[in-house]
Amino acid sequence: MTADGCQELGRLVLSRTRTPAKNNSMPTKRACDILMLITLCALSGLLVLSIVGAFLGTERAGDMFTSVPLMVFWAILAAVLLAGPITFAPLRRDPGLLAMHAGCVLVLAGALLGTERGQWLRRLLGFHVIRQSYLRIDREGYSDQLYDQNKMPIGRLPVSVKLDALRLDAYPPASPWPMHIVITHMDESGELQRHSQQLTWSLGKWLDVPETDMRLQVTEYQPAKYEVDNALAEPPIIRARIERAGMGKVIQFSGERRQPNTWLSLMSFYDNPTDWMRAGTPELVLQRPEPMPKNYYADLAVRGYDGEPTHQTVSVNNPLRHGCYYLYQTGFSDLNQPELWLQVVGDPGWPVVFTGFVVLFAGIVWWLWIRPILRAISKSQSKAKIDTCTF
Amino acid sequence: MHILTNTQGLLLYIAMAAYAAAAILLLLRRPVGWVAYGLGFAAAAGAFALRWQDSGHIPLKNLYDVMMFTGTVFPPLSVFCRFGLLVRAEALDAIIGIAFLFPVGFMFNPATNPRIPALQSPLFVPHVLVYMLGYAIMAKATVQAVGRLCCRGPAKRTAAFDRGAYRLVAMSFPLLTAGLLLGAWWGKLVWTSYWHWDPKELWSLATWLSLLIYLHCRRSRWAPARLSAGLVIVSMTLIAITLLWANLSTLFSGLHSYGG
Repeated sequence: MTADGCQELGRLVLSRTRTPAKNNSMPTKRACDILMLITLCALSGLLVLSIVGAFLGTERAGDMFTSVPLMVFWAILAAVLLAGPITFAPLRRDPGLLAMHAGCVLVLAGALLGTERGQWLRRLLGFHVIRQSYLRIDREGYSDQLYDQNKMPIGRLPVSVKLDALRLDAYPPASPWPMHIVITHMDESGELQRHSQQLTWSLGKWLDVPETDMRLQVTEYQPAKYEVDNALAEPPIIRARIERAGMGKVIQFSGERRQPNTWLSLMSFYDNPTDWMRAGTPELVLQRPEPMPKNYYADLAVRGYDGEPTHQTVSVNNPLRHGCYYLYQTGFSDLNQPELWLQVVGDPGWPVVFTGFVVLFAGIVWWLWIRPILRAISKSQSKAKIDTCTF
Repeated sequence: MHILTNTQGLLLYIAMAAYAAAAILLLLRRPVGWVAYGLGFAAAAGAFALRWQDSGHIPLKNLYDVMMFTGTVFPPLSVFCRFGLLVRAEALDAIIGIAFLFPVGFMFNPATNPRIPALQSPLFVPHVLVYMLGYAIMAKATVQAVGRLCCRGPAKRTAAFDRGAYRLVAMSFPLLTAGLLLGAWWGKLVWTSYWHWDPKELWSLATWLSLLIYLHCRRSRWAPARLSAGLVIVSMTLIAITLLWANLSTLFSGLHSYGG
């Protein structure tokens, strides 16, 4: 757009949005003042409630904001938001102000449509959704049965879903692998009790091995090596010097490729097996750290009414959407787990809320960013002097 | 309290020293203050880049990261506000920059942890980024509001403070709104709902509402200008609570607890 074009657009917009203050009659002014006062009271009330809610915690705050008195409050707020543009002419004329108010109304309406208390509105509009449920899927066959928290059937999903595969994208495990000392004792009832304690070692420094009369110095640590996909290529190797009762030995052990723990008996530091058993059969354990998930995915086959399956993937940031239903993979335990529980949320209000977000943001950007720029362009022609703020 | 002994720490301390020098020189109206301010920015940006390299992703995950980012953006923000919004007070900007960088250099834990699956969302970075930019601009707006309340000078001068505060709030409010809405959208995709009544969400909502009240007061015929200035200060107090108290205190545990 050329500079002249911008100036023309600026003049056009501002000529439509400038407040015709002198044309307002006294009763209209009074009505506007009263409405502004109600708006400020409503916003201040919501501000105070927000602060109170922050101290109450998530659950109690949720209960408070969806209680009957607060539903009345939300209705008043929506009425004020609608009354603003009706009573106050500049709100109707300016697209930014109108969009801000319309956006807020849409957010409130969408939120009502999605809440537990909005059941009457959903019925009125013909939405028959189950708000919160769970879907159990496996690799054997398609499933559409929805369950509540107690695993009782509560309805069916409009589509059926089958688990194809689970995938994990993990970070390379932290290095070095943790080393533990494990002591086994027999308790009063004659049962063996095993407990372990992690050794916080650093290269070259001596440390007393807890619950034993030994001390240990790690002299060399060759870290584990990983493939590009973070699969273990080579386990780590530890070389350490252990001293007990004036006797010192160098030990070396390396992590197991397939086992999560590698055990090393310290019996050779004792004169005989009986002494070793009396000391609690101390053993060193090198533990393979669990991979920390970067993201996890479930590949699903989804079959609709037409019977044709489509293949889709859900992950932590990417739920599966079908109509008003959103299917979330919220947990992960094992790639080979036979079944997976997906959290299913039925929310017909979300598209309305999202539209409200877009309209609200567009209105704010128009009012606070674009409009002043257009005004500045318009003023630049008349070379208006703008004071600078100094401190 | 601790001292960072790596290159990143050294750059942070250089940035703070340069900001301090810039603040003094700019208060004395010496143009060389801008050189010190620029040097501080270069050092802070270098520390941020090193942090980015260490963590393997844009560092906006915890308080250490976001305070470093916010402390870094002040010099370019000062330039933008001076020439774009015609609002000055760069010396105080440099002091606010130090206030953001100080806990990074001496108090917060610099350990980097991998991002949990929920934080892999493409919405995470813009959500935090716009919030921190909004907070930085609000800190500048607060300076103007304090100036308005303390100023006993001619009406033209108080009006300039009023205008400065309004221009900065007008710049910050869309950013804070974007942060709130992006967070809600991200929440819908990750945590099944766009609103959880989480303590930090509620503190953010309170901040947004206080600025909304400010904007309404500016439009009303009867609200005094001093009330508007007071509302800017209240908003900044709520931002400080959202950023620090809601993150660090165990009183407000919730979905945002990872941010501490």
